[in-house]
Amino acid sequence: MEKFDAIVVGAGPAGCAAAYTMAKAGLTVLVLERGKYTGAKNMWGGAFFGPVMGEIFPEFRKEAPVERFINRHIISFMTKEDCLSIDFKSYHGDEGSSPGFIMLRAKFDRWMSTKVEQAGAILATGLEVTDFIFDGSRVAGVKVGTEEFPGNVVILTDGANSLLAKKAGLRDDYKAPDLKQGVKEIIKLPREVIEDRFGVSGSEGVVMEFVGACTKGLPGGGFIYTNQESLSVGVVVQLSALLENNVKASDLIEDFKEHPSVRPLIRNGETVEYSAHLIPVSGVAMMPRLYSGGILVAGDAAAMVLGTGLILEGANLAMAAGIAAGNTVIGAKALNDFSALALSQYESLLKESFVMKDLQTFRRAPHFLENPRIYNDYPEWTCAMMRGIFNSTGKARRNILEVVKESMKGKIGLMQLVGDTLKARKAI
Amino acid sequence: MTTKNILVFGEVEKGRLAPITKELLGGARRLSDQVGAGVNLLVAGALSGESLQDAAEFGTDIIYHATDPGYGEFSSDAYSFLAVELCKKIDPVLCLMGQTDLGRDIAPRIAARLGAGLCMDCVEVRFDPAQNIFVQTRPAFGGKALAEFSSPAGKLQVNTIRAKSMEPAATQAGRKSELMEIKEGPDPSAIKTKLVSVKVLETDGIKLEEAKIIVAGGGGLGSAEGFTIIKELADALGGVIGATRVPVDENWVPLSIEIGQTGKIVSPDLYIAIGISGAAQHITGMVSSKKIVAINKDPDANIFKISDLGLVADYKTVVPVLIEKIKESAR
Amino acid sequence: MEIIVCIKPVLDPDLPPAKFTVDGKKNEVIPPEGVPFVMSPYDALAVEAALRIKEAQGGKITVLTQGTKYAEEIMRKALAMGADEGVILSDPAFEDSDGFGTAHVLAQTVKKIGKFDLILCGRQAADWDAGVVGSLIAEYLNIPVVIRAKSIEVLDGVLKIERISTNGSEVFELGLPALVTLSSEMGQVRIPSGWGIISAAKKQVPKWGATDIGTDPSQTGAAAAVNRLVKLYVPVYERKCEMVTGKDPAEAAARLTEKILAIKP
Ligand SMILES: Cc1cc2nc3c(=O)[nH]c(=O)nc-3n(C[C@H](O)[C@H](O)[C@H](O)COP(=O)(O)OP(=O)(O)OC[C@H]3O[C@@H](n4cnc5c(N)ncnc54)[C@H](O)[C@@H]3O)c2cc1C
Ligand SMILES: Cc1cc2nc3c(=O)[nH]c(=O)nc-3n(C[C@H](O)[C@H](O)[C@H](O)COP(=O)(O)OP(=O)(O)OC[C@H]3O[C@@H](n4cnc5c(N)ncnc54)[C@H](O)[C@@H]3O)c2cc1C
Ligand SMILES: Nc1ncnc2c1ncn2[C@@H]1O[C@H](COP(=O)(O)O)[C@@H](O)[C@H]1O
Repeated sequence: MEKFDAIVVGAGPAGCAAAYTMAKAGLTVLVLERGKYTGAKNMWGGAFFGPVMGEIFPEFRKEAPVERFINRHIISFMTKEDCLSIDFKSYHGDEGSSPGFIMLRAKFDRWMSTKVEQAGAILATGLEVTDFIFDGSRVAGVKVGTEEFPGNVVILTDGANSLLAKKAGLRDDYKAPDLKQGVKEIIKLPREVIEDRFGVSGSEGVVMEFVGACTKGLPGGGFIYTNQESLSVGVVVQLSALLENNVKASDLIEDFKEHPSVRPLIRNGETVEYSAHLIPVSGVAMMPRLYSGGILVAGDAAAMVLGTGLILEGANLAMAAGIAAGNTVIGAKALNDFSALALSQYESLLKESFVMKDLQTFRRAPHFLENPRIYNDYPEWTCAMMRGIFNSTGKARRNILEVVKESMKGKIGLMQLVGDTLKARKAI
Repeated sequence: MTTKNILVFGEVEKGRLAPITKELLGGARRLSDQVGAGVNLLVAGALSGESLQDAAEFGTDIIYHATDPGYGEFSSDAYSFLAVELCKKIDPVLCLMGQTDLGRDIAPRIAARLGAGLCMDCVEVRFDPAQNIFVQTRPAFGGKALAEFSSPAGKLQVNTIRAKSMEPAATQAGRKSELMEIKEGPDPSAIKTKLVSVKVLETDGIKLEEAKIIVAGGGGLGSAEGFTIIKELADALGGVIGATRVPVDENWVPLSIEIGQTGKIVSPDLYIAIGISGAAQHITGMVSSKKIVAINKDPDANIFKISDLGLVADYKTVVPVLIEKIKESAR
Repeated sequence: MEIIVCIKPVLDPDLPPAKFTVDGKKNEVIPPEGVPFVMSPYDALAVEAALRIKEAQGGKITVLTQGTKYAEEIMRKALAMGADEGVILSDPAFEDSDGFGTAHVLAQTVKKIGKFDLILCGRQAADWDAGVVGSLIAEYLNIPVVIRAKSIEVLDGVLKIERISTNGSEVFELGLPALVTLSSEMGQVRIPSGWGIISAAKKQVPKWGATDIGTDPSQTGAAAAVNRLVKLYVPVYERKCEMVTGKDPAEAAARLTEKILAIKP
């Protein structure tokens, strides 16, 4: 039976980046993906940040199915009836240099996996890896049901809540707050309507993030991203909070869509897709061991997601980690040594890259973001404050500081506010 | 033959004209009045006097009856030969067949031999006098879409027609038609396949296509036993049972009662769909039913979109009540 | 046995109606983004039938597909199931051919291949549902044809085909070479194994164009189509559905019964 240099489990951003890196270097690579086709089961919000894509696929700006380039961020705090937004537009540079862009997974995964095949890797879809072949304690390949596929190294890029990482003995069970659930709808709207409603033209795009009532006060947030001819609309909520409060994510998204500040944005749109997916959000705190004899883990499977609260970055970290894993295997192949020691190079590469640096920097963010005040009290307070400031009652106006104090009364203690602010400074 | 004509390839069932043939004659009659053509009927094999009379009364001008024993039973090779020879002789502008075993088989073959235009499974054939062409409408993509085709002027069109899509003409009692016998048999060199055996499954009672009431079950029935329950309902209502593809694939019921794109096309007065999701390929075979009632435990099931009456429930809890109440009312 | 199987890439017929949209201006289906076409399910039956014959008595299976989009994907699928070779017929001149044009391309390809005993097709392509190309190829090659087969047996150079008819079933016998189209009654189609997929990925699949197979330019492509598509649309069958309810299922059922009895013919 043929033995591959590397077997990659899962053809998401992490797996494709790893497979592409290795196949380009001439290694024999097998990618196994459980979806009927690549992207079949995958979803995300769709905002990709940073230069890593351009580093691995220099041609991507010409070829990749980019929907829009991000030049406007809107952050909103919402209560049931109010919405306070910070609107940031940036006209630095042009689309060619924008560090952020919006893509749809269905198209992106397909494009990326075609690249992987062109580079010479074998991509087999419809195959779900169920177990490993072990050689002593070393991983020596994978099993799909009863079929065995031997390989020198297995790169696990099977996404959030990787059961295989557990099977390989790389991680323990997650704790309840470690996972968030994301649900998303793709809502079709004509291009002109999107450009009108969101104040963009050409290939410009908007990323909107919402905190507060959109999750009924549960830890999480809502988002709206502009695609070419559709909107990605979703909410992300802590899974354990959903279970405890007996709330369905699908109901939250319905409420979100009905919010007075959201409804007009999606009016007359047609929902063409609905999907749900888990996100590992505890960062370094939940990270598995990243390597062992014959095996490496990257991407969501290794909890490499950066949740600073407002934006969710995972795909860029997944790709960077995939590249690092690929390069590690290339090095191991040159020495024909696939032991844990040889593969420890992976961790060194990651530490030098932005992946571990960012995850370290924001290591306190996950805990900070569990604070319920962020989702209840602060949106209430800020909106109440704005109401106070803009409220013209016909009487003489009070000065702003009084309004602020008034709006805080009974809701937020000054000390709490100071404490949370300090924590925020450390965490995000 | 110089006058224009439309040729219908007729089918015979137990010596009589099949319902589809009456429908085709109705359609041909209406078209022929617009085109200014005669309606010719080609039939092969044994034919009773009544069916000849039927043919005349349903609107045929000339009946071509192929009597040679070589046409005694269905043969794609022989019937293709027969149709091609007759078309060469009478030069029709349009040749209509049912979307039946026969039509599916020979329509493409005669179109290839005669260089004719071809359109299968039409639900409508129109004549456009301005352009002097025929325009066909047919379902596509498993019934999810309808497509309209235009055919070139001055070229024979071979079209197969879906059951229940053309109305039979009102019969004119005593109407006469000319009978022409085709005595020659098929050219032996044309016969390449041999029919070695035929098994006919006798259906007891009413045929699915002709039933006024159909109770149809789908994958939601879960087992062959599910069909004994709905059979009881069908019996109580005086109807017959039908099925979607799922129970057929599961071998709960025979293929002969499958309804839909690859099964039978039905349009009863009352269609009760139980445990059926309403996939396009099924709907396309029953959507023209006069009244549609759906029972499904999923409130979002597509079947409700095309139904007149709906009940969201587990069929096991409601169908027994239905049976009982209907039996009660009959007493 | 030299077996040739014709397969076509089609929009997945199992796509829910919500994902099916038509561009009314261009009269085209707009395939949902990122969802690849699949091998028409009846064609997969034809591949399966070929494999069963090969397993019973040896032989070689060559798969043909005419198309550009997703031709490679479905070809790999057929090879992964166990077919030996494949040829993709791809040429701008072939695009938007009607059934006659497609059959011309496929028949010319068969002639170029030269040696064959049996050609297998699906009963109809699950996009336009025409069910003509198989019969047309047989006509162009002047070989016997049986459509919508349930099973195929080969005994001493004679084919025995059973098919399900409206009223029962029929068994035919015919000599080789011949063309047979397959219907869903044939049974289950195998799922390719992982190693099957891997070996298929490594096979070379040649692409042949008009000059390779010597097609007549006046017989292929949109310009050669005899009947022309003038309108494609999604029919609206919606009825207003009155939902029957009750305090419990029994009451709802009783109410439904009354309403049914009222409309019962
Ligand atoms: C609602 C939501 C919004 C998000 N928004 C953003 C955003 O805007 N920006 C951003 O950068 N990130 C975002 N993310 C995170 C981002 O999607 C992930 O971090 C990223 O997809 C991780 O890539 P991956 O390759 O590690 O895993 P995945 O993309 O999950 O890929 C894993 C692949 O492995 C396959 N697989 C799983 N198990 C097996 C098995 N046993 N055998 C074979 N194959 C298997 C899966 O089918 C899948 O194709 C979002 C996530 C969600 C849920
Ligand atoms: C090329 C092609 C041709 C096809 N041709 C045909 C054809 O001719 N005819 C045809 O029918 N199909 C055909 N199909 C299949 C078709 O696409 C659907 O798969 C099929 O019609 C689904 O059958 P169903 O609705 O019975 O089953 P399912 O889709 O399995 O639906 C079962 C339904 O039952 C409901 N249900 C489950 N349990 C219960 C319960 N206890 N009580 C009440 N409701 C319950 C469920 O909510 C569901 O809506 C074809 C498919 C293809 C690809
Ligand atoms: N483009 C094509 N390439 C290969 N085979 C085809 C093609 N189109 C049709 N066929 C074959 O002909 C059968 C009937 O197709 P159709 O007449 O289009 O319904 C299909 O099931 C295929 O086996």
